[in-house]
Amino acid sequence: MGILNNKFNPNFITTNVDKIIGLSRSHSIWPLTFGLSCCAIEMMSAGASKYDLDRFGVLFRASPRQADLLIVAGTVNRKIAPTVRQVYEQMPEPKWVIAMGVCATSGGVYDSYAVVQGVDEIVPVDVYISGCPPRPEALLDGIFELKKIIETTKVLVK
Amino acid sequence: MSTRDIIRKYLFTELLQGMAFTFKNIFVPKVTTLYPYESVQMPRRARGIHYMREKEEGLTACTACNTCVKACPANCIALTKTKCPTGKGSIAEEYTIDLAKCIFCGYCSDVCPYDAIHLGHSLHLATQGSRESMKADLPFLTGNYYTYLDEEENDAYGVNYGLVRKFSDKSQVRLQED
Amino acid sequence: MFLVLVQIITMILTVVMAVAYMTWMERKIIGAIQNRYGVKHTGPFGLLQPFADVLKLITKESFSPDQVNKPLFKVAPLIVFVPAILSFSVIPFSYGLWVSDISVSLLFVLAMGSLGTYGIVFAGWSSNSKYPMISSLRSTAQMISYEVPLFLSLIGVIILTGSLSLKEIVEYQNEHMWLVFPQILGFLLFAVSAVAETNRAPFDLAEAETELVGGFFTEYPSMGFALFFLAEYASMFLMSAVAVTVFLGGWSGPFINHFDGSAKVVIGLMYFVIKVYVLMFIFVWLRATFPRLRYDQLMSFAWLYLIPLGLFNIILTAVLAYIF
Repeated sequence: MGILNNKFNPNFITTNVDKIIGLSRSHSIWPLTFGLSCCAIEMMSAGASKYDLDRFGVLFRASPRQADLLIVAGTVNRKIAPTVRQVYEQMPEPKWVIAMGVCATSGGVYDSYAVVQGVDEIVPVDVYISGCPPRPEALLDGIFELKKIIETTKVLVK
Repeated sequence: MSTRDIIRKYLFTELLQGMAFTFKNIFVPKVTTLYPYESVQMPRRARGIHYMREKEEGLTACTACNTCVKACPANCIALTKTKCPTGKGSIAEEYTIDLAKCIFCGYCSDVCPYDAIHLGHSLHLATQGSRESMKADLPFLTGNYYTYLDEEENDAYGVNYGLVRKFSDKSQVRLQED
Repeated sequence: MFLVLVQIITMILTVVMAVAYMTWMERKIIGAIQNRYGVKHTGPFGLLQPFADVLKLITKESFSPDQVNKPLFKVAPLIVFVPAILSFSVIPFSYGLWVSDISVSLLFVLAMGSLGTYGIVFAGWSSNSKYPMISSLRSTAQMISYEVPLFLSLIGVIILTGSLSLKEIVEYQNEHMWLVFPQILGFLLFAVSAVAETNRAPFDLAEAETELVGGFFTEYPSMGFALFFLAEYASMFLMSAVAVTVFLGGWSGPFINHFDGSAKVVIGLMYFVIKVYVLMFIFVWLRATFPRLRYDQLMSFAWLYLIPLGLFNIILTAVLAYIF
């Protein structure tokens, strides 16, 4: 929150305001559509009718300026790596990153000179999801882990 | 042009048909599976997190022959070998599958000569820790085996998930020595 | 003086709450059409979702990128949002329930609608990057082309009722019949032009995600984007309210003339709200059903079909009004 970030002692008001802010942020996560390869299909299927992501308030936005979650879904090649970093920097704080699938987590099966071995060499990652590709339920599990992180982040309290 | 064509062109009947279809769809029952409260049943052969069979209590079936290590396309299995405490032959002391690299292809289970490593159907694969915490070691894999052994549920096609018990008995009969 | 202030604040609060809950209604209805639930877990039936969205947008970092033209960048969302809210002050919500009554209120509403175009031009131009500029130019061309059939469709109403004031149009409909029956062609023209005027599907080329990354609000962070978003829903609300007032009878309805005093006010308000929400449902229904039009199809639709139909409507109405 700018200059008010982490400046106050924990008391009744500040902890409750933190709780309300954490709850409202976790119920309204807006990811950026950043599907790079096959994991993108599973992300689309998680947003479709059978495993609906819109139930949790998740609304996919196209512009990085309005998104707060970056789901890196797919293999990160060396050619797209500067773009991933640039898109990450264009997002406003507070922002989170989910690395979806084994290729984004650690390069996966592609141990080669053209593939970045894990997107956490480029951006800091909060939740890793394994699987090739992870089922939509696994992506939903990852989003629940992220919601737990968001709800317990301290905003005003030191 | 016939009257029907004129009506179609100027009164836009196809547009209204499309709108009627969408309107009817509001009253059709919803197909969503409410995930954390209900879940979809996976087939018996779905490839999820692995489990390692045990011959007896505390004695794993893996003899550290390294066939799965060589067959894995992603090079994610690491194991160490030690002498079997009961009887002759070798046994695996540490067996780690790096789930951050595994692509769940099932080759390790296809080539294992002792029917030790198999793939189960669980899919809960998300973690907020570091990448190093995503390694599945031998106690974890053996624990998975006992979970499947007690399983009574059937999959969506009526096949029992706990079929692992019958499978392991058959391989016990087939292999006479280590 | 104090009474007017209370009326204004009530109107603004009501309109802003209605617009915020319109986002909830849209997500639920589009979810129902697509065989799924919309928002469900944020409060009962997802009713607290607009609050969660607003609180999240307030606590996000608000910055302006380096390359923008700062005065225009900051003022553009306000230029789009303020006229939309301002036009609600002349709409008669019920018998005796309006904020102000000027004798040219219909012209005032349409003029405010045209001011919104400037905000879009400023937003796209000041963002100083290619996707917003293309999108804002297309959107401006679309909005000014569709204002012409919008105005032409209302001229038939003015010929029949003989006045530009919204209050008198509703009273005319209360005595005679709803103007949608003699002016069915005008109503359809107004409906289609209103959908295009507010940049809603199937005419939403300006904010299409698949063609232009975000449209003219790509470079806008949290609160600026929220203002554009609310301004779009507010102008959708405004177009529905104007259509209800001018064609569908406003607050009049069956049996309303038997009542008197405050019962008449309440029943009139109820009729008005029901009609406006039916039209909003149709807006959302159109969005869920149709793919979007290509740009040249959109422009040729306005200039080659709607404007000739509008002129034909005026001539027909004038001739029939002269004869009868």
